[in-house]
Amino acid sequence: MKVTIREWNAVAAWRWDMPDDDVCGICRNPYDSTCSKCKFPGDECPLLLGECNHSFHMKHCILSWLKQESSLEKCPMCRQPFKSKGQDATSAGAEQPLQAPDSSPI
Amino acid sequence: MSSADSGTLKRKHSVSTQQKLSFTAQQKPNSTATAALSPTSKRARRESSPQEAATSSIMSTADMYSFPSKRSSVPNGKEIVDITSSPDNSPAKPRNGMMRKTAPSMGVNAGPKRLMVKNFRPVRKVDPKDFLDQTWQKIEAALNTIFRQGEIDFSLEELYRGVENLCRQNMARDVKERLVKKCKEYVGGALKAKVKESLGRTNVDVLRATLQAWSTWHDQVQYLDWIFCYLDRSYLLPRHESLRDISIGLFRTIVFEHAKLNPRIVDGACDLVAADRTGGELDSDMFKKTVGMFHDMNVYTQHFEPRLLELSQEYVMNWADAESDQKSLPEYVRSARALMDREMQRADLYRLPNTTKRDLLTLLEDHLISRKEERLTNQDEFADLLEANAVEDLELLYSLLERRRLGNKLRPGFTKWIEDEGTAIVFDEKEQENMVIQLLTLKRQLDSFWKVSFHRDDELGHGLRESFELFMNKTKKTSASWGTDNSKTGEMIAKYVDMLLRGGAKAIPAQLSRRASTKVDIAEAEEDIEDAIYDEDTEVNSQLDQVLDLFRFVHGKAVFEAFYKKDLARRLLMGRSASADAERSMLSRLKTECGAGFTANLEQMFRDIELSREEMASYKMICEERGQKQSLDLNVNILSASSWPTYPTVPVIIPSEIKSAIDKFEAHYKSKHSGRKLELKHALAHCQIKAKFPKGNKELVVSSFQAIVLLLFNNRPADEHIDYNYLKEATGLPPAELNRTLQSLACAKLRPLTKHPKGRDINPSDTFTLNSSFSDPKYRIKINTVQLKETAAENKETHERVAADRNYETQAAIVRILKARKRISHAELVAETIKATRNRGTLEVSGIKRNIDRLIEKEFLEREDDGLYAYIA
Repeated sequence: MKVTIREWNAVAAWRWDMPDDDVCGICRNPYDSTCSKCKFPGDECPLLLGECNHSFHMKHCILSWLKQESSLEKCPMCRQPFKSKGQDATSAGAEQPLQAPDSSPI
Repeated sequence: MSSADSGTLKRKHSVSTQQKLSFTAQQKPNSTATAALSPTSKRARRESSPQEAATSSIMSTADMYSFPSKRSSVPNGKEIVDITSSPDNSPAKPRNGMMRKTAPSMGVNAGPKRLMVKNFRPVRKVDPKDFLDQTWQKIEAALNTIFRQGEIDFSLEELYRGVENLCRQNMARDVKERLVKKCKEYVGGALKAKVKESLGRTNVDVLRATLQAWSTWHDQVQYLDWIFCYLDRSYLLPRHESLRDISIGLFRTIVFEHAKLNPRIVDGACDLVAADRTGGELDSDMFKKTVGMFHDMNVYTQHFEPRLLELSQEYVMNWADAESDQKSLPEYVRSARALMDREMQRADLYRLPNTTKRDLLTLLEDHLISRKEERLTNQDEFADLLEANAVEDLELLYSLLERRRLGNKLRPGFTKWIEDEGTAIVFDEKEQENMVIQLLTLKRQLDSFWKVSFHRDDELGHGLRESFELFMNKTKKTSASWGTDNSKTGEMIAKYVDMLLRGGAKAIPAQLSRRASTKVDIAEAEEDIEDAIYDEDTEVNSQLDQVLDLFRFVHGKAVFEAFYKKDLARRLLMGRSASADAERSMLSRLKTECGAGFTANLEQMFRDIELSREEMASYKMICEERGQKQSLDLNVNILSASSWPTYPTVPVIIPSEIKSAIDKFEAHYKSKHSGRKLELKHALAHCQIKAKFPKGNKELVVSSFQAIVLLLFNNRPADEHIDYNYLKEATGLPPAELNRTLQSLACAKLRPLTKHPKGRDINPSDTFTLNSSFSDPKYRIKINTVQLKETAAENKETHERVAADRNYETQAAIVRILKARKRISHAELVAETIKATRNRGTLEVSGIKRNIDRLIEKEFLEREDDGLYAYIA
């Protein structure tokens, strides 16, 4: 008796590699699901992780918060100036990293 | 002969240009010409001769005779005196008719020129009275012969002339009176006597005698007609009488309306009809003649019709009572229909007038339908008919009722039957697997009732849909739905769709496949002739359409959604869809049915599979470029967790070879999509393995767990027993999963392993060996069906999740209502909540109450002193 595996069809589910398995501080939706405006999770609705280790849905949550004058470009959770934590952890898509520095203070 | 002759004579003399001569007195178009010339003269003359006024017809004839003379005389010169226009000039003003006729010569004499009248014959003096008697004698003799029905031995021409002459002599009235008297004598005497003879016998015989007399009389009147034609035309017609009317009237008043004869005659006719009704022979010739006679005598509507209707009513009433008591509903309907047909046919055949037909029909409908409405809509019997699928009988019943617009009275019975049948199907726990098939069959049956039997009656159509909806959404807390009140129909429909999409056309149950049922559905055959050519796709599509018809009735789509999603996930991950097209078309159907929100997740699932395929292709390309040889063909489906059903992660020890391949891919994925991590769901994985069995090589399609177990038997002698505990350790599987896996390998139809001791259930003390005698005609064998099957636990979990979701939804609805209303009473809140969540299925009040309590606990709302709920901001 000899059994050899020819083909393996694995199934995997992806999720955001976030330190804490929590909800977005702005829209209160889980990180794994979308913000209230997006339809599909994933590249369409990526996350942005700040240096303060607070992360949010990027497009419609943290970016639109930072655009407001009153925000003073601070993290809504800890009131420290919000800076994204390095290119690798910020987002998944190719365009988003370009957008993020635009709005985040340097 | 005198006056009439003198008239004609005068015509010859005075009128040289005879243009228009007519005997009919009414025809006075020429008088317009005269009117202008002498409007007063005529009137004056009429006044001057009062005796003549009575016989105006003759006078006006005389009038006419004089027109042309005027017209011709006027252009001749004014010397010629207009005789008619100048009565004032004439000295003899008050003259009688005879005198007047000599007037022209006098008038002419008065003129300046002398006119000679040629061939003037003086009037013969014959006494008109004598002349009348003389002529009448001849006529009377003839009449006697006629009435005796003797040989006609006289000249009709001569008699006619005689009558004509009499009429011209102003004796028409006398002639008429004499004639009428003569006829009266005859009809009242000989003719009546003949009819009366039959009085002692049956009504029909009386009728027959009457008919006999009638036809005799009719023949005789024919002679009278010939003889008295002139009288008829010139004397009676202007008076709106006619010989015919008089003769018929005589017969009617004397014979027909005779106190004793009349009822007998009419009843005789009715007896004929009655005989026909009771199955006897109808003397059709006789009846036809009778109807004709009644019409001729103008007594049809007055005497015959009411009596006929009266007797018909009695008959129909008794008939309806007897029939409805004795016969079953369909038989009654059929015979009622036949009776109506028969009656109408008879009415048509004998040309009964439309009023009779209409009244008869009303009467029939009254007694057969309206009065028997209760009987016709008897729910039990109606249900029996429905049960027996008696489409034609139902059609008869419906069209019978519909004559009186009572078709909708069937609704209660119809809806009740549907509800009973449907509820029985929905709550039949033994036949749960077949629920959808049964529902589809029922639906199809109902549709054909509606289309064929009930002529697409709107009211009944609504009833059908309403009651279908009602039972489809009936819920009961049963063990089948694990104590939740989820609708079982939603679940079963989802499973049926899954079966269709997995199996394609082959999976369509025989009793529903179109091929098998072509003869069943008349209505469908009518409609769908154009797609008589079947192929598998259209077959599957039509099945999906039918299922969707059912689905539309279901209120709580959440259950369907949950199960459909689960099944779809399985189909996608195991690659078990029969056709991608069918999947897509189902998806678009659901989208149109329930909106985009409903299908968003499902679409994402399709997208994930698509993306994963691309991902794998690019990964493989990269590997090839790097020159890395793949030891095994790895495919990974990467899911976005939120769109898919939640799957528990089952701990398992993956063979190192596979683990390294997966790890390599995971590293690649992470480098490509930063910020993500992968969670492998081994329970969903499946694989192909090549296995060398003593009886030959096989390729097996197995689940990952099965493969892992089988790998443990690698390079072991065929008779080595491996015990349960070792397998448990080596695979790291939890007992439930391991048991399932081993069972599928050692106790299913195909057994690559052998269990010792034999039995269905796996025990920790069991040992396993390879099945050395494993063989199968096919080379490639699928034995991962266990993976496809839904376990009881999964089913329970899905149900509970749906129920839990519903609770959240209810709570959300309650909070939303309170946010808007701030303060609300309990009853109002419950009503509003039911309204708000209706499209998700109706909620039980107790469930709403529980959710309100929960919200109070969570301090979303509070109870106020006055019993109202208030929202806590």
